[in-house]
Amino acid sequence: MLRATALTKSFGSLAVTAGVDLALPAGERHGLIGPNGAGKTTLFNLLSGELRPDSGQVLLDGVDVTHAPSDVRARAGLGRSFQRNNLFPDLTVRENLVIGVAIERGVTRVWWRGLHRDRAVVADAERQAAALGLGEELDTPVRHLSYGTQRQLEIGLALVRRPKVLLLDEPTSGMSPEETHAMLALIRGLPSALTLLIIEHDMDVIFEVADRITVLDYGRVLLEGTPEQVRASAEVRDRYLGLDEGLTP
Amino acid sequence: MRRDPLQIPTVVLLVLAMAAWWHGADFYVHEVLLSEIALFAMLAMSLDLLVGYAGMVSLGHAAFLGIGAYVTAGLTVFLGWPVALAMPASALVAGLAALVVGSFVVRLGGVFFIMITLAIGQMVYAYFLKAREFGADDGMSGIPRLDLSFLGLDTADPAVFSAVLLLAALAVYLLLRVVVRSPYGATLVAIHQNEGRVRALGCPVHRYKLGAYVLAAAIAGLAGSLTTQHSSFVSPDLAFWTVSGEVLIMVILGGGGSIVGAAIGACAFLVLKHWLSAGESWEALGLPTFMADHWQLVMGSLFVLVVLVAADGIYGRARRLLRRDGPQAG
Repeated sequence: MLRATALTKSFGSLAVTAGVDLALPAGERHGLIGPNGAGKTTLFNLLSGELRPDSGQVLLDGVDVTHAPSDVRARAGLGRSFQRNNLFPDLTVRENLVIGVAIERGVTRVWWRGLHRDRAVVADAERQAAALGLGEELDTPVRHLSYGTQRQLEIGLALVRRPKVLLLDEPTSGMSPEETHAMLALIRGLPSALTLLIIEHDMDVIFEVADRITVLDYGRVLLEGTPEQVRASAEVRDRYLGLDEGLTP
Repeated sequence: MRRDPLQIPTVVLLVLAMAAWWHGADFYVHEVLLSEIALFAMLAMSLDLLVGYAGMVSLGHAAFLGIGAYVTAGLTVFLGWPVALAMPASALVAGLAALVVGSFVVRLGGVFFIMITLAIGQMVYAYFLKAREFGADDGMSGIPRLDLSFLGLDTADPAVFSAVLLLAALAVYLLLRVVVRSPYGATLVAIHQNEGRVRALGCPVHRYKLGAYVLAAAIAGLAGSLTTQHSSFVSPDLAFWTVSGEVLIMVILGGGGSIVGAAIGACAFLVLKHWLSAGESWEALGLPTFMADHWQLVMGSLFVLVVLVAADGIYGRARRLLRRDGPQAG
């Protein structure tokens, strides 16, 4: 469903992504881990079109999207959330989701009729807010929401298009244990046909969610395998898991 | 996107105030003040679509005013077109110019967009300054006004023509109100807030920004056509960057992000300008009349003051007193 071959990206002389191969069959839950600066978010940006690779190829559902900008990839079925909340801070929860729904339904070209007339769009946005547990916050400007709630909306906005492939960049970062628990439930509840690639520092979350895991280090794939293989790997333990012991939960 | 409870009362009040002023006005007020307010209100409202809604701060809006003015001048004086045809042609040519220019510039953001629109505005100015066929720096004169004799109206009468201009400004307001309340307008606001996320949601943002740029330019072209009819004269100065700067100041003064706010900005700026530059007003305050020569200094200080106490402009501040802020419908 999502395949990357020999992706490279350098910033100046620093090779942030150095020949990464990745292949996700439909419906797979794939974890992406690695120490800070391993190039996880850069790889996400290459996959979603925020950045163009220096070389290599990105295939989405068999279609070469290497040179397609992020809006084209989004329309082709790729959704993503961002590591830092990337919302419309002055707009309300309802308005954030209405924008997402309006873009998804292609009604944003309509300039001659009031947006409030598109009741189906507003109703759909409200339904999605309720599904995210944000039904009480519809009229709250996003910047007034708690960090964890903004994080939920961040994922919710990525889900509006019902993507075929979803990239989640550290969905539980900065969350309290209860919020992490709620997020985990949300991720587990995603449709099984959805292909999921998830960056996460919380190993409990990643081992719980992922079918397979890719470990990234200095822009290269250190290891790719099942959670058991990753857990058992001395190299990964040495490079990543061991380093973090006692530092992050 | 949110309802703005202040909007309709403000518009009704503004329309009534203009109607009353028009009714009691003398020759000077019709010919100069009301006409200028209507023309600049059109420019400010269209620029607000870019600045306040889409977040595209242009310092070259006067280029399209100039293009519209020269198109009407050229078509009527050289080719003898009726003004009623030259007007839509002016809007069309200005819009097409914006389509060509915008295809490149809408990709730029922030200060780069400001500088490139400024540069393009100055290129248009420089062209008209040297274009002998359009009278170069002397400009052109003898541009006729819209013929409304079939309605029994004589547009040479300043009262009639100022009414035409005010009604045109009202029509521009109504059009832009529809646009900013639409899904398209909401998308522009979202692009302003977070362009990258709108793109990640699947929206080709450059095309949306280009659409706003073209619409704003077409309205400026129409305003240019009316400006040249009003003065029966056109000169390169119309396209000079200081005109763009004044319109931008009007938008900021009135409050970007609401169309009626931009119109209020144009009114406030022009009323103040005429009042401050008249010796009598200073005399009435018991101050020396030479202050009238320094009206720009006083105006500049007032502008700084407004920005300090109300960064969201006169209308934005008033609205904030009533409700929370943020871009609004209309």
